[in-house]
Amino acid sequence: MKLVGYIKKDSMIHSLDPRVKIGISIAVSALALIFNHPLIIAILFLSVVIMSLLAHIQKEFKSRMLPMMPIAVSAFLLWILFYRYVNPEGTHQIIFNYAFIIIDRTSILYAIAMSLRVLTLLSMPLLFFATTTFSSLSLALVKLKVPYLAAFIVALSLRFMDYGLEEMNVIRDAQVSRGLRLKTRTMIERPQNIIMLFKPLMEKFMMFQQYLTLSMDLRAFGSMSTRTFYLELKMRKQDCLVLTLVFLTLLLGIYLRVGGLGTIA
Amino acid sequence: MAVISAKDLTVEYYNSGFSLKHISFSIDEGEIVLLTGPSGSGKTMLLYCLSGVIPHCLNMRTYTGAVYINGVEISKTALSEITKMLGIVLQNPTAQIFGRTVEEDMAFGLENLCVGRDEIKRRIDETLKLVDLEKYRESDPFSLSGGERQRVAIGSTLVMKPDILLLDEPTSNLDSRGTKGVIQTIERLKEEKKTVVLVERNIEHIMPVVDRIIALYDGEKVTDSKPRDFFAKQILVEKLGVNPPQVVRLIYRLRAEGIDIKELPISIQELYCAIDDKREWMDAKYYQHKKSMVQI
Amino acid sequence: MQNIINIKNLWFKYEESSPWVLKDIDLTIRRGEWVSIIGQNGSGKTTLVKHINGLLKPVKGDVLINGTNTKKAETWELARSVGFVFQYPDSQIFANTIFNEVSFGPRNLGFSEEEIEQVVTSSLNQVGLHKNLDTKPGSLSTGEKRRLAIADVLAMKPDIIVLDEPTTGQDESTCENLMNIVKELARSGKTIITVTHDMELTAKWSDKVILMDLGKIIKNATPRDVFTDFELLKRIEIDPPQVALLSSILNLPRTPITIDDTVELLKMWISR
Repeated sequence: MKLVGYIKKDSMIHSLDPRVKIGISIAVSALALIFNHPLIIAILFLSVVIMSLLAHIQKEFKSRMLPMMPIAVSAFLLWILFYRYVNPEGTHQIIFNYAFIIIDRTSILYAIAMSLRVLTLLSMPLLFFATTTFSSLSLALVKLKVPYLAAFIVALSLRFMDYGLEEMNVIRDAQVSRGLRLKTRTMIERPQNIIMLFKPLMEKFMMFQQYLTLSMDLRAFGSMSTRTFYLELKMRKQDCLVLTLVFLTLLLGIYLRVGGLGTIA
Repeated sequence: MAVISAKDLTVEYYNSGFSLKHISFSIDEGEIVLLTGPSGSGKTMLLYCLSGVIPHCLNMRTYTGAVYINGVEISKTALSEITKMLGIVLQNPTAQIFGRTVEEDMAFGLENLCVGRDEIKRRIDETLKLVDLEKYRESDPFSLSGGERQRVAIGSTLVMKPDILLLDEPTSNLDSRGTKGVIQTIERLKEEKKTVVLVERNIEHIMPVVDRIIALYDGEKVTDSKPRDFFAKQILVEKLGVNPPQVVRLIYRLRAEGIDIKELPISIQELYCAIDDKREWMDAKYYQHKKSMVQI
Repeated sequence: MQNIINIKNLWFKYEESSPWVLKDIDLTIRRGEWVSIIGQNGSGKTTLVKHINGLLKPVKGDVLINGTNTKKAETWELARSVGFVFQYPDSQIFANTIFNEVSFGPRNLGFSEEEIEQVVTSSLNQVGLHKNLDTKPGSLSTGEKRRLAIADVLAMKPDIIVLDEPTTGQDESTCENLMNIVKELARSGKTIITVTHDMELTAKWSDKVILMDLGKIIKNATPRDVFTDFELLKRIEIDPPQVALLSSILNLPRTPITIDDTVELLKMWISR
């Protein structure tokens, strides 16, 4: 199962210029960090979900988000237990009290906000990489004046992340077939299990990396000071429009926040 | 005219015992040459020497002698210049795929060489036809089968317009469909008068296209002959641990059982002619290296 | 139990939304049989054998190994009965000595230290790897690594051994060695399952051949029956052993599928 890879579909989100999608990602993530009112962050998360619907990738989005749920749940539990220690003046309206566990209205709201924030921050890149090819991302970065080598490395890492995961699966299958139990009985066995999975992976990675650099040389990579770009990237009217809207939303958000709105009172 | 020549090439790696000793041969334009020999005999190493990978990308303890491609000495020429004359497809096609689509992957090398966009497109159109991947132009190479992926790797090298192609075990992980696809590509290259040097263990399937066999043993060249002459040296073939086509091994067995087959057939049709009484069947066409499979 | 492997109405796909990879597979394999599974890449061969040691579980249908339903067993439990030798030994070799490497499996299965010593030594002998137990696996040649991987599996004393592409990318001499080892295992009563592209190997050694295409078993028969069904083989673009084609050129009483077979037939043919 691909966790990160591009999902090929015909949608308005897919056809947006990668630079616009970078803008959307930055805006959504920034707003999720600025605000801490659960309602606002919920709206942000919802916007990501809506975008995934518009991109026709709702099924894959759901299955890729599922492994993230434990993280969101952990965030919720952590904040609900520790909010009052972090922000004692803010606590009131105690709802639950047992031993050292004191839960009040504020901590509940805060915990919800934090877990939603986690979900938003995790889902936004997910959406981005599912709707943007690594090659168009690479080109977008170059257009944004990122040095080609850096853009190329980003693209290559994305490219081979899924391949790396596949190799990991092959290794895991091989070791499990020899009696390796992934759900270990004791903590002592865990480090050995990790060695069993990672050592072959590292060795494969080293070999692969050697072939990769050799291949790059053989395709004359870096032999000239410039290069041609076969793919073209042009901002259309709708790209400019969306980017403007996103930018304005971000500005508005910052303005409101600075004005004192969007926090849990 | 010799497009590839090796003159007294002696090369040694730093860490392992692998080496090549005093290798000399020359290959003419349009020849399809098979490099064979047991594991560790230096086949891949030789391929690396012919392509310039040695000495440009890999450092050697020893490197004496010379390799000439189109008369130019490889060790004294920049790799980017070499890639215009010669292409090499390594053993792991996955590590050679850089594009999200077949088209993008084929463009990669030409982008690096600052070739113009229109010219890139034209070359991609041509090459897609050559490797029979036109319908996969927009496909993700990783979604293709092993054989198709191999052809992508070959195509991405051919698009740089080399006249010489080196292939390191192109059919080793492929099924019969994939293998046939690669062999058809090599046949098409032969028609275009390209020179191909390939390392292969799966000799049986590749025989129909091969003109010449160079065998290495322990870093030395032990034989350089036409396939028929190569397989006639039964003891050498067995010592090299090379697996000849089943038909050839059948002849070895028949000879051991006292049934003498004078001419060594290397395909089924030839075998028939060799053992059939009606010798008038034996005409030149059966001795040509066309497809060795009988049409059933 | 005569039928060591029992597969009934097996259907499998990787995800809800993806297409079926295995369709309605029915298969029984008897104890001690040597079965070869052949077919183009993507026909489902590897997916099918991964069900035998529980790496994959059926979406529909059942897979019974020695009477145990794989849906109710973990892979590490099934490792007692099923040894899986993967195509690339580098995917599993991790230890710093060959002793540690080969003892990993039996240790996981709870063998005692004495048993482990004994089983490691005997497995290494069985595969002809007569090296010091402290040898680093990294120093072995490819052929030796492959034999090490088989020793890993043998040390767990499974009844069934699955080999995924055992001869692909191998030298002739390595292949010979490997096949002799497997032949001995078969003779000692192990059930052998090979997934392979090597038709000659299949014809020479298998008791039974399973031909797969597009997720289905399209033929389950003896090597002779499979390799003489030229129409079917042509349809799925699989080539029989070269010698089988002789029958279409000469008028032989039966189609040879191995060299031994052919020699016998030709002797008769020539003396007619």
